[in-house]
Formats: sequence, C-alpha cells, structure tokens
Amino acid sequence: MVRKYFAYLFEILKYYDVQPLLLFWSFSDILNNQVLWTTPLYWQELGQPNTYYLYAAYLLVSIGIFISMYSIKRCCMFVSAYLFLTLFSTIRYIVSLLSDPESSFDLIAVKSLTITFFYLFIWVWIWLKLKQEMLSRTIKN
Amino acid sequence: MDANITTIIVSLITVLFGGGAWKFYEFMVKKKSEDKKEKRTEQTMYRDDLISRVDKLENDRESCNKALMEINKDMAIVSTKLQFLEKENNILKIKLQG
Repeated sequence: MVRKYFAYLFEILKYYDVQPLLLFWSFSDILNNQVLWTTPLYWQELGQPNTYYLYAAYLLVSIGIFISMYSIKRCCMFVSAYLFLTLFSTIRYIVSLLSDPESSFDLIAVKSLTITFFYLFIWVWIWLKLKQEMLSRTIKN
Repeated sequence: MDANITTIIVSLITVLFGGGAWKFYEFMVKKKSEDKKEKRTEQTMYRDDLISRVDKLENDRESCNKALMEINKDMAIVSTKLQFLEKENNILKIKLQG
C-alpha cells in the first residue's frame, strides 16, 4: 500500500505538467517579494545591502515567469534565470557558512540549508520538466 | 578570495556542468529517437516489400487457377471421349467375336 502510494507520487512527478504550479508559485512569489514590503535602507541596517538587489532580481524573474506562461520557450528562459538565482543564493549561503568564522553548523544552519536545498531541488525539477517538454516537442515535430 | 567572487565562480562552474549534462542528455534522447525512426523506416520498407510480394503471388495464383480450370475442362472432355471409345471398342470386340 505504502509502496503503491510512493509509486503514484513518482508518477505525478514524472508525468504531470508543472505549469499550474509555476503559475501559482510565481504569483505568490511576486506578492511575497521583499522589494514590495521593505526599503533598501532596511537591508542596509541589517548589514546585507545586496540582499535587496537579489530580491529585486527575484521579483523581475518572477514577473517574467508570470507573463511568459503562454510560451514554454520564454518561460523556460525565466525559469533558468530563477534557477540560477536560487543556485547562487544556495552557494552564497554555503560559502558564507564555510568562510565566516563566526557562523557554525548549528541546528538553524542545518534547517536553513535543508530548506535552501529543497527549493533548489524543486527549481531543478521544474527546469528539467520544462526542458524535457520542449525536447519532446522538438522530437515530435 | 572574496566570498562573492567565490560564489560567482562556483555558480558558473555548476551552471556549465549542468548545461553540459543537459546537452549530453539531449543528444542521447535525440539519437535514441532517430534510431527508433530509422528502425521504423526499415520495418516499413520490409513491410512494403512483403506487400508487393504477396500481390505478385496473388496474381500468380489467379493465373494458375485459370490454367487449372482449363486443364480440368480438357480432362473432362478427354475422359468423356475415352468412355465413348471404350464402349465402341467393346462393341467392336463383340462384333468380331460373333
């Protein structure tokens, strides 16, 4: 029974389309973006002035995904950009964990790393699904 | 080295390797699909050849059937003639004995 359930989950991941998820996700990402709710000053005070611009890049890419839903090729370009930003954030976090002598692998760091890697995995999966769809369309034509 | 530069370099290397892996996968999938298409074309050619051969054999069978009918007809004529000849022969034999 449990095995069947996981097989079904695997089938969902393998065969179902990602566009509805992407649509809701990008919409929620736009609304949740920190650029809309904070100012650069807020991030400067936190000692992370670049984070504001990183969020701005996320906002632009999310808007790009939202408005390019009609074309898989364009949407895939924006998803690639989003994946790159997620990858960049993940690597940046790991690098800061490793290079900063004050930071350590405590429970919070492990939790943050898990969440970051989970997001990275989801975006890699979405990117692969879109790319695969494009590839199969090319092969069919 | 500055953490930002390290991050950029590591990100670029990851993107390059990821892109390369995708290109390799794409190449493999395309090749597999082309091989499949080629195999299907070969199978279609073989099937077309079989169809033309069956057509030819069907035509041959028709002409053979016609020839067989002719032979049957001739055979029937010959056997009827033979029956008459045997009867005539028997009559002649009886006449000669008498």
